Amino acid sequence: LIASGPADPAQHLEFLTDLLSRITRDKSPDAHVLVLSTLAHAKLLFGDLEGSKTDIDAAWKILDNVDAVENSVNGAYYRVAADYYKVCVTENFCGTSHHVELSRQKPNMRRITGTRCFTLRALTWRRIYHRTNVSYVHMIWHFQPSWLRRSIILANWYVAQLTVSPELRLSLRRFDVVDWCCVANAPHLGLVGRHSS
Amino acid sequence: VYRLWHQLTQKVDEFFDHALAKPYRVDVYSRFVRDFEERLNPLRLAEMGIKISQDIDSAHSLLLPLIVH
Repeated sequence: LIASGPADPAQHLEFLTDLLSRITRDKSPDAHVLVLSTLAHAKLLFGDLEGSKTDIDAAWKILDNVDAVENSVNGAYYRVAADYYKVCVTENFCGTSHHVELSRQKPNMRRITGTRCFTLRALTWRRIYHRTNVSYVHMIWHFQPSWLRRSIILANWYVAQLTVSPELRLSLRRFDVVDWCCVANAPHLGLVGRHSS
Repeated sequence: VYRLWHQLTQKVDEFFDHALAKPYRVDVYSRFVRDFEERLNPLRLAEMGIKISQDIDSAHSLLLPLIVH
């Protein structure tokens, strides 16, 4: 899937960077902050933590000097700032080697692409479990549609209660629900229960 | 004149929000909206651009095929 996908994070970031250069700070500070926050969020999701932080700081500097902005602009800023700190806290809490993993690959784009491949590979739970690199899992979790998240939490609860019959357990496994349970069991997600295999 | 640009923005926005327009959004933006974007309200332009960016290899689109496999 990684090899066949035409997707390239660089293009997404390039589009937003280009848009940012056309909507300058002098022209419209609030529109600039909105694009800057979105760019920071994209960088965060693609694993470029340092780049994200730089943009968040720049956005705050502008917001601090502007009297009133639309709620959507404030919202975009606080969303990315909150997600950034969530990822940082998760990382520290789980003691993962996120920065070490990233700093091994020098050029910025290769770093982002590498992280993306890693994120995709991490979708198989065994690797997540063994690598214990759950900071990515946190992000993947938020990509799931809400119905899937609800069913995962529900299935997780059932597994925790050990009330799942062998047949049901099998069918859950078939739909990858039990696999996601393992994700849901990541301690930083704050979900109760333990995964029993 | 300003009012007409505003109306055009609204119409384009309406088009972008249409479900069937999704495959054409990036093209319409880069070949049509880019020509007169200087005249649009910067905030509306930013919102439009962000909407379009979701069609260009966003993190969500990268992971979606894996979820629905």
